Amino acid sequence: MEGASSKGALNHLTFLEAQARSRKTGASQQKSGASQLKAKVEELKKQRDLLKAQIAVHQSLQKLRTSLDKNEDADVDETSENSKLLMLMVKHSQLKDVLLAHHLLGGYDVVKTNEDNSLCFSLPTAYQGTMLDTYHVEIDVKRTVRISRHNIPPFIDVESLAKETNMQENIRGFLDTLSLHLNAFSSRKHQLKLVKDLHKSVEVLESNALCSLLVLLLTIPKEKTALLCSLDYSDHTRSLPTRVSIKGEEKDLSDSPEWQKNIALLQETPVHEALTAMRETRHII
Amino acid sequence: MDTLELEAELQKLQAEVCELQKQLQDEQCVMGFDFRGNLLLALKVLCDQSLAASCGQRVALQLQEELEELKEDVERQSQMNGYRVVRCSTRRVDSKGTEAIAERAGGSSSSQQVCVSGLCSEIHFQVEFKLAELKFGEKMKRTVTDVNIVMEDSELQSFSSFLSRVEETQDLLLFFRTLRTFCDRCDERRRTFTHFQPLNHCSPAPESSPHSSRTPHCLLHCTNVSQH
Repeated sequence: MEGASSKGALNHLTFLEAQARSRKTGASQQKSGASQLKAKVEELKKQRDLLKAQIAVHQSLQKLRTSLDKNEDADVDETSENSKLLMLMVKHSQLKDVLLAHHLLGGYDVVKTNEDNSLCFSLPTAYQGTMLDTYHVEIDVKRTVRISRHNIPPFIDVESLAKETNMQENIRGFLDTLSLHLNAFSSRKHQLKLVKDLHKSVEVLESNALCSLLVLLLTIPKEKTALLCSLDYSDHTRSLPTRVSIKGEEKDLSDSPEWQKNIALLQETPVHEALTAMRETRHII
Repeated sequence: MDTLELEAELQKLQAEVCELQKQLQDEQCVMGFDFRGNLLLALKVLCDQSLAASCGQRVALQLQEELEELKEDVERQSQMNGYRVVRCSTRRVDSKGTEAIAERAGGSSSSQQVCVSGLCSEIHFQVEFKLAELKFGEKMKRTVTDVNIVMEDSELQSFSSFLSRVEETQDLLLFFRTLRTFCDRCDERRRTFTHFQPLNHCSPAPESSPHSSRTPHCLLHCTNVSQH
């Protein structure tokens, strides 16, 4: 009897203990749930305050930069450390923009290299508004002024240009001339690409690496006869041809007044534009 | 605070943070500040008082040093490029259509209105243009459009037709190369004329006529100039 009731009591006690334990875990879980939430709330409050501070700084910088750009007196407390820092940051951004301007306006982006023994220049090229390839030249300036490295294609003779322009005495003169050659080459190359892209019925029979020679096969709409159009770009500083000739299978069309106009067009406008005009006037397909 | 109240506050804060993040993104878009290196440190200092106390001055010093380096760089560029940029400001331009198309194709695009004012020799110029950049991985394509150039100098009447052509063809590079060459020539001309000016005030020798006594001086100076 005693055993059974004590066993029963023991069981009951165990049951009560288990209940108490689960209530505790449940309570502490609930408690840790609340503290977890509290921690999250604090974290978000910090994040919110940081974001507000960052936005305030951005707005101050913007305001200060705008008034400095207009040469107005900056509305800042000169003595505060924060204001001094803001001023430094704005001046930094102004100088960076000035350097960007030099770059965008086609400047040479000169950089000292090789422990100040050399200068590295960038030569950008463009066709009208489209930026094309940029080339680089490194010139030693310590003892003798000479070209140490460059990535200019071999068909442009950089060394002889350096000699012609007296690079030793006048680096800028050399760069200006080199830039002229590179821009003209880039332009001619770009025009050739546009001919291939825009004029599928025009066949490019011959061209060279320097893009100083171009031979095209044109087709007349009615008779479907072929015309050979040769463009000579013997002035490598220009992106327009120096000589144009158009030959038909039967005759040399240079004498026909109609084709005289087309030849003049090819001499005065970029080749892809001239071809478009000729297509529009139904001279070619 | 009980859990229900806490959860409500959490939600409210999350919404607030989301809103502020959007606002910050918009501010960053307008600004065009590149927050890296010393600029990033400065931003952190300005947003955290404890950081400001501990390393605010050091960051200011580093930024000052960097400013000096940038000024030297600007001077170097001005010397080499033959013109001075007085001011350059950029403003982001909305081109949501192009941006969406680029993003769909896996790239990115941005458009800026750039306004530059500067000097070439002593001639003031102001150039405005739109710069569009299209990025696909490593490749970047830059295009310049809507070029507008204003120059100050009555001497440059002959320039106006050239200016119109540049504005038509958007050939900024050509414009600046030509401007610089033109200014170099103007400078040379000015130097040569200034060289001859003092001679006009030479007092002639008593016996000879004013002209003949000036001539030997002129010739001497001529040979000196040509030797340069």
